[in-house]
Amino acid sequence: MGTTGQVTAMSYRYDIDGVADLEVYEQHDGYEGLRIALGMEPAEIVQAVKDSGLRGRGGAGFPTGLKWSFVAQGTGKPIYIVCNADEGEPGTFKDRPLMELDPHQLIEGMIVGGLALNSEQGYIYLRGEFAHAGRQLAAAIRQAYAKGYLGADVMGSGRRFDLTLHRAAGAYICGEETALLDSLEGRRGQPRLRPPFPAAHGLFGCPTTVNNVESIAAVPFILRHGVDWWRQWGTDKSPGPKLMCISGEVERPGNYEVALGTTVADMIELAGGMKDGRELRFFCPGGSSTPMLPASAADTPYTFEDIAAEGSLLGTGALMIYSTQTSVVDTVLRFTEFYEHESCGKCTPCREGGYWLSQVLRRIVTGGGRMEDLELLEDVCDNIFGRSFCALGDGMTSPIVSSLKYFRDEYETYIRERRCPFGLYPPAPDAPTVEFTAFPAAAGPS
Amino acid sequence: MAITETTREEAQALALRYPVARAALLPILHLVQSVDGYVSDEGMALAAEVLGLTRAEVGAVATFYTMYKREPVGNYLLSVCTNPTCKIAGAQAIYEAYVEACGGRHVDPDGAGVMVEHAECLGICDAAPVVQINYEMYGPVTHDEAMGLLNAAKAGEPPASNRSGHVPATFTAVEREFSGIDDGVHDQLVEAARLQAAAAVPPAYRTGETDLPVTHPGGDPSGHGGAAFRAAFDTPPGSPPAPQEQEVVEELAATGTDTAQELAQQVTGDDAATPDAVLPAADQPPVVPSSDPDDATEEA
Ligand SMILES: Cc1cc2nc3c(=O)[nH]c(=O)nc-3n(C[C@H](O)[C@H](O)[C@H](O)COP(=O)(O)O)c2cc1C
Ligand code: SF4
Ligand code: FES
Repeated sequence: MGTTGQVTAMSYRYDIDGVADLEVYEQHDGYEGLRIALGMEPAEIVQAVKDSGLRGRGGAGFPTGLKWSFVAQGTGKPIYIVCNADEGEPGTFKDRPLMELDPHQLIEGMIVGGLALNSEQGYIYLRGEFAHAGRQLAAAIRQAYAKGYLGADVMGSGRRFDLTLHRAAGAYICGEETALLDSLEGRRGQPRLRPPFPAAHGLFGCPTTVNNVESIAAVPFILRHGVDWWRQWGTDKSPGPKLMCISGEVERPGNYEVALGTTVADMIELAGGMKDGRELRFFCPGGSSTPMLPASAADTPYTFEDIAAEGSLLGTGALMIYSTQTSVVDTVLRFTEFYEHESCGKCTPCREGGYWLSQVLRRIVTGGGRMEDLELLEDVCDNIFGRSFCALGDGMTSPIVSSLKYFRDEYETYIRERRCPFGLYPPAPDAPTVEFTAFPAAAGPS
Repeated sequence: MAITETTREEAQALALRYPVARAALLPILHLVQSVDGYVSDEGMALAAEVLGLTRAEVGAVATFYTMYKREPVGNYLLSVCTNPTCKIAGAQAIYEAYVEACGGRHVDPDGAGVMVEHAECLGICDAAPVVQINYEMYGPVTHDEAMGLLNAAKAGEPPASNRSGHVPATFTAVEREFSGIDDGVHDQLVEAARLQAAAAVPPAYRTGETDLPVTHPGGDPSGHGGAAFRAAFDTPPGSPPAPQEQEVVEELAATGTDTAQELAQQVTGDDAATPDAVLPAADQPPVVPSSDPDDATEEA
């Protein structure tokens, strides 16, 4: 494993004053990756991305170079490169800052991706609520057109690349790549059956790749500094730096760039340690869809393979930290309500399951739970996981199944004492009077 | 304000930025929202008309997305994130206090006019708890600061965001921005879309679970796809399609699926009745027969 800890690689321009402006960006190595790409064959660019070992930063960790090599060439159809800037996974906030602070980085990545894939049109599908990011991107795209980075003759090379900023309208499911394509085509965002895969039959029935903002923005860096530079961080299977979103009960929540392989405990330290000296109880390693892990797993190196070995997923790099003052069950309820609300309604297990899971959890937190409810939750999750049309359904079960594995005692306390031990909800009318010892009674915001 | 001829022209302009017009539906819904302050029935009818869709299709889309509001918002929309990280930082209490301050409702038309809503994770959890005014972010806010934001919005004077430094514009102005109509690269995008629509195999109007390009003749009536399609068939009935189109059609027939052959047959075949039925006369707007089972149910 390479060096671990905080690094400054993809975020190195974040602190440069005015770097969203094209001229300042150019002074700081801007569009150098593109200049290099213009001297390469498309296949060479794809090979460089493959060699770097870059894995998709949108959640699934699929190798980006491999994904690009699947895109069907020579069909007579236009080829599309679509940037997934829908960033909606709870706990994730890395793409938005990148687009706000250094928008040209993404535009440069899109053009390079276009060259690699013989695509002349890119779309940035931006989460609708990201007003400031939209403003920054729109201004940057205008500048890039005016200076000939975009358009009919990219940097005088005779190659064409056009880029459309498309603002969405608020639906988490549109982050799922095939739902995104349906949404971009002006439909409800509902996932598509695969195959056919987007690489052959994506946007408007044409060969398409959908990649996360961070994945696309990484490519010019890889071309500019080389594969070895990228691989100096992380492990063989998870190379490179990662933009981390550290949130929850830490002193300095925020965006940190770290080498993959840094432990979760070190990242908590990086974020100033636990807030007010609280004690770590559980964390979600990569967003709410990734199974939560107990404090004892905090020494796990943050790589795709190590987090998977612990039974969870690296996801988007959204590390959410929670202390002993926070109710696991209530957190799970809120996550479940999120999935219930965001279910697109296409398939039965997720559409109906989300509703029932919320009902059962709500009954538990308000003091009406039954011990059988725990098996009921597991049973419903079992009927959703692997039986849903897309990964949203699977993600819905993650918080529940993992919390029942590690924190069953808290569920049992809710049910036995017929009230929330954290005092978040009024107890059931007939609840016994008890002093809680298992969990601090002082809960909620301090 | 009401939908005007200008709105229609702007909606048509948005449609031309995409190789297939329907892709402009989300931007157009932002546009109509910027005129009426919500997605009105009139606005949906306009979108349907401009894109050659049924109103049911537009309604199905408009009601799917959180940001399209079906009742007037007023000048300021306040969104409180109540996902766990914000919730444990005090957001739930803020949201409940907001509703109470609006008399137990989610809209308060008095003063500048506000709407309050609870939102899912707004992607800025390091600033928990977070409130947005017209999608401009504020956080972390104390309970009192959050109430101050509501009062300022009601008075029509929201402060600058402590994150972006921007003072939120009114709801309609922000929705206009989201439509992208003023992004400033219109001509470039129209040209790009036109080129794609003229590709050897143009982008398909109907997609989904089929591998057929342009699955029904005359599709995409208002976009480049329609224009490209019409140009390829703009020949007297009976005469063969343009050479380039002929190639595509033959390739299509060679794919072997029944539907592909049927479509190829319609285009090249001697059975003149079929193409006549689906192809518009030269000076008439194209008809849009529906081949999509979804649409069939929507129209039924
Ligand atoms: C429910 C759901 C939501 C998703 N949301 C996002 C998202 O907001 N941003 C993103 O990049 N990927 C998201 N994904 C993952 C995408 O489907 C896809 O894997 C990703 O965009 C591919 O990009 P990558 O290969 O660069 O990671 C989501 C997946 C699911 C199932
Ligand atoms: S799992 Fe949920 S979000 Fe995914 S297709 Fe089914 S209903 Fe839609
Ligand atoms: S949890 Fe509130 S912004 Fe993410």
